[in-house]
Amino acid sequence: MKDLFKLNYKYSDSHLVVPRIIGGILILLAVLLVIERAKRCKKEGKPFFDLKGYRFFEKNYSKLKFWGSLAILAAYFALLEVIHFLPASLIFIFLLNVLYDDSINLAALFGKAEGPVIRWKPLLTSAMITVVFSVGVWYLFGTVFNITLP
Amino acid sequence: MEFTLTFILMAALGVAVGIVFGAVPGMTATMAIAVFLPLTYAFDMATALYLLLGLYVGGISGGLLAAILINIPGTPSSLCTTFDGYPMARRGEAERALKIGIVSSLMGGLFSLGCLWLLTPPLARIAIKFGAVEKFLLILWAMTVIAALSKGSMVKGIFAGFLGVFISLIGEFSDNNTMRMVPHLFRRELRAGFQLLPALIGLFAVTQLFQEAESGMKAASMDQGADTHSTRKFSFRDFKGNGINVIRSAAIGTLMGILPGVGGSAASIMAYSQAKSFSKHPEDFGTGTPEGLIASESSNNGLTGGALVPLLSLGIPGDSTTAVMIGAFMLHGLQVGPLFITQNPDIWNTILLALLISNILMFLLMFYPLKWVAKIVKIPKKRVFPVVILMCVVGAYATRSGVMFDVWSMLIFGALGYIFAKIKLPVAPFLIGFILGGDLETYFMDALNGHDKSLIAFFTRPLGWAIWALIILSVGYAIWDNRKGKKMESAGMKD
Repeated sequence: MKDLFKLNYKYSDSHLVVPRIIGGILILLAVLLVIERAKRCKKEGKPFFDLKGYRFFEKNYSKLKFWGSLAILAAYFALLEVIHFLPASLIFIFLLNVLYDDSINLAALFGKAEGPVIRWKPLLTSAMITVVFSVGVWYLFGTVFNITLP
Repeated sequence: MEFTLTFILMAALGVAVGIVFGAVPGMTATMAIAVFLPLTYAFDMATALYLLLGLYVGGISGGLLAAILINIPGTPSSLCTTFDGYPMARRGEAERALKIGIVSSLMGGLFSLGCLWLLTPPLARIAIKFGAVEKFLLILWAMTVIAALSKGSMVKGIFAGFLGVFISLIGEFSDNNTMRMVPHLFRRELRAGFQLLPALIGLFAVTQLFQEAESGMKAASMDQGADTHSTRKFSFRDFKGNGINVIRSAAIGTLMGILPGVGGSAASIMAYSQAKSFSKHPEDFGTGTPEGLIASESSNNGLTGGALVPLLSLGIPGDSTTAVMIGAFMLHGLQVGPLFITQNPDIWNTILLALLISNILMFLLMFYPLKWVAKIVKIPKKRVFPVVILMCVVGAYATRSGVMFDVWSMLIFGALGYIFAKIKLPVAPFLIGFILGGDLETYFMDALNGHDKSLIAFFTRPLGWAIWALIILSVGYAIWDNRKGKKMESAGMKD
C-alpha cells in the first residue's frame, strides 16, 4: 500500500518531478476545456471550429495604432543598448505620441484624403511631452537615483 | 520607528499619482504600483512603502471620479459606483455624489486598516507552525480559491493558475542545480527564469497599451459627462441610517481582499448586491441612491487592508496589486510570510502608519480641492501611455541592474496578457501561480524528501487536514457556482 503512493525519482532527476506533474495537470485541464467547449457548441448548435465567424481583433480595430505600437516598442527595445537610453527614448516616445495623437495624417500624405498633412499643435505637444519626460526620467533615475539605464 | 517629513511627502506623491491612475479609465492601481516600483530602488524600505501604499489607496479611490462623472469605472473596483453615482451626477448632484464616495472610501479604508492590524499577527502565529506540507497545501488552496471565484469557467481559472506555475518553473532548480525547459539559445538569460518585475509590468502596463491601441486610444466621451457644480449640497447627514451599510460593505471588501486573488470588482459587486437586498428601498438602487454608492465605495477601499493580511501573514498576495507589492519586498531583500512581523516589527508598524496616513491624505487631497481633482478624468490617456512605457523600460532594465532580456520579457508578458484577454483566460490566477510557483515546488519536494518520497506526506498532519477541508470546500463551491451559472444561462436562453 505504502509503495503505491511512492514517487520514484533520482536526485539528479528531481528538477523534472514538479514540471512533469504540472505538465500532466495542464494537459488534463486542456482536455477538459475542449470537452466543455464541445458540449457547449453541441448544445447551442454551433460548429466546434468556427474560423469564418471568428474574429481575433475587435471590429474595425485600429490597425495602424496596434501594429504601430508593436513595431515602435520592438524597435525601441532593439536600439536601447545600441544608441542608449536618452536618444532612443527621445525618438521612440515621440513616435508613440505622434502615433496616438493623429498629428500626421497618413491618408492625406498619400493623397487619399483631403486636409492638412500635419497638425502642428498636437505635434508640438508631443515633442514637448517627449523632451520633458525623457530628459526628466533620464536625469532623475540615471543621475539623481543612480539607477542603471541602458 | 523614525518618522520624517519625507514619508508624508512620499505618501502624498503616491496618493496624488495613484488618484490620476485610478481616475483615467484603462489605467489601474496595479499598473501605478508596477510602473513606480523602480523608483523604490533608490529608497529604503520605509520610504518605498509610503510611496507604494499611497499609490494603492489613491489608485483604488481615484476610480470613483470617472465612475461618477463619465459613467466609466476608472478602475475595475469602482464598477458598481457607476450604477448610482452617475445617475446622481446627471441629476446635478455630482459634487454630493463625489463627496459621499470619498467619505465612504475613507471609512472603508480605515475599517480595513483595523482588520489588518488585528488579524495579521494571530494568523501569522498559526502559520509559524506550518511545515512544508502545510505551506504547499496553502498555496494549492489559494489557487483553488482563485479558480472558484474567477467568473466564467472554473476550469479556465485553474488552467491559468497552473500555467503560471509551469512558466515559473522555467530555469534552474536550486536542489540539484540543473536547468529545465530552457531553450539552448537563452540558457544564460533564463538561468534564473523569468523575473517577476518585468512579468508584472508586462502583464499590467504593456497588455493595457496593446488593448488601448487596438481600440484606437480613444478618450472617454465627455459629451454626456456631468459638471461638478451641484444643485444639492453634500452633508454628513447623507450617511444617516447607513452606518450598518458602511460596516457591512467594508467588511465584505476586507474579506474579499483577504481571499487570495479576488479582485476589487468582485468586492464592489458583492457589497452592492448585499446592500440592495438589505435595503428598505431596493427599488431605488440604480436610480442614484447614496446607499448604493456608499456600498460600492466603502467595499473597494476595504480591499486595501484586507489584501495585505494574507500577504504579510502567509506570504500569499490577496489581489493582483499586493502581488505587485511582493516585488517591492523582494527588491529590498525582505521575505514576506509568517515570520515577517516578528522579524521586521519596524516595517510592520510602518505599513500600518503608512496606510493610515495614505487614507487621510486621500481624503484631504480629494475632498477639498474637488473642483480641480474632477478635471483629472479629462487627462488624455494617449499622452499618458508613452510616458508609462518610458517608466516601464527603466523598471524592467533595472530589475537585475541592466539585463536587456528583462526588457524583452516585459514585451513577451505584455503580448501574453493580451492574448489571455482574447481567449478569456483570467490573468489573476496566472499571476498568483507564477509568483507562488517556485515556493510550490520547493515545499512539495521538501515534503516528499522528508517522507521517503511518499505522497502520504500530504495526509499525515492534522493542520494539513484542515487545509484539505478548505480546498475541498472551495472546489465544491466552484462546482456548485458553475452549475448555478449554467442553469441560469440555459433558463435565460429559453426566455
